[in-house]
Amino acid sequence: MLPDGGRQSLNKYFQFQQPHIRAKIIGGTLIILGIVSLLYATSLSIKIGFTSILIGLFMIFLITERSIPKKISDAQIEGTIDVIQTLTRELNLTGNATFLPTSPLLTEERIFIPLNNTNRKIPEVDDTFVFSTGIDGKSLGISLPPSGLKLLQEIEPDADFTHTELETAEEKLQTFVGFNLLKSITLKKKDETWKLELEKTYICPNDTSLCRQYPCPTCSAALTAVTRAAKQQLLIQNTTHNGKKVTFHLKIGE
Amino acid sequence: MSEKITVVFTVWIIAMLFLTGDENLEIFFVLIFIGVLITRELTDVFAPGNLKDRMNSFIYIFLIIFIIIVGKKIITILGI
Repeated sequence: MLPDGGRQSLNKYFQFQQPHIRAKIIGGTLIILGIVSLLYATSLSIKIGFTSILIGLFMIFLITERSIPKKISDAQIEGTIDVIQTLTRELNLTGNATFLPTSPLLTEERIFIPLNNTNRKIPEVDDTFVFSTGIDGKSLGISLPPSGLKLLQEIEPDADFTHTELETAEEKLQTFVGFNLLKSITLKKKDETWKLELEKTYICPNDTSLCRQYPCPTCSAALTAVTRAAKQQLLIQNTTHNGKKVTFHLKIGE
Repeated sequence: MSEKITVVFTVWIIAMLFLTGDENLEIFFVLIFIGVLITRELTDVFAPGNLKDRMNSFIYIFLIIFIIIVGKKIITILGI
């Protein structure tokens, strides 16, 4: 166990690693230098002084987000994904996921993973529904909340997907880029299918079977956003990985 | 995103410092204001709401400075 002094110095070390703390220190220093520069009454020194103060102010007031190392945030996510992966493997579920939109019975979007891709008859899913036992000829499978649902709820105040048409959803999806979740995102219609292409900030380590059944939170949030805009079922037909790029081939509608 | 915008602002301000050289401070401020406005507009789709609000507060401050500069110029021209 660390002594109190040691813990405090460790906390200070980690605080200093935060970009917003470093920005505040550099910004504060620039403001002081700017004020000192203003005291010299030449035209150029006044201008340098103002430049320094302005950059300092921008650093202090624009860089305010806290951050955690990527390894830590990934570790928080991996646990849940592993549980779902084990569950689908043990239940022998091989079908591709379908994102279900909200309905009078369903208050939040759900993912339905069927037993296989031959029988895709999706049962009536409500908020309490988890296991589909195949009654009335419907597909066997499980219904789960998407891993990116909470993430989308955080993003939604900045981009309203509920009142957006599918054709204009691409613009709203750019919010994912703004939050540094993705490098780029495009949604294009090709013939009868839609292509959602996500470029991540790192090489996507997930295997295609996982992406087809229970995508990671970032991909899942984007897919849930598309479902929300479409207000229709969204079936993942196929996925392709190319380095940092992940492409989802989607069928929207029944 | 906030880091990238800050870098853009910093580069723009330094570029304007070199561009205006020993010219008066007013042109320098107006050019910075234009840069801030352009950046705000171009990042509108990407920037999260709270970042937009903070950028807007800078725009309001620059707008006040801009009004003062224009007011002073009008007074000078009219000779009031």
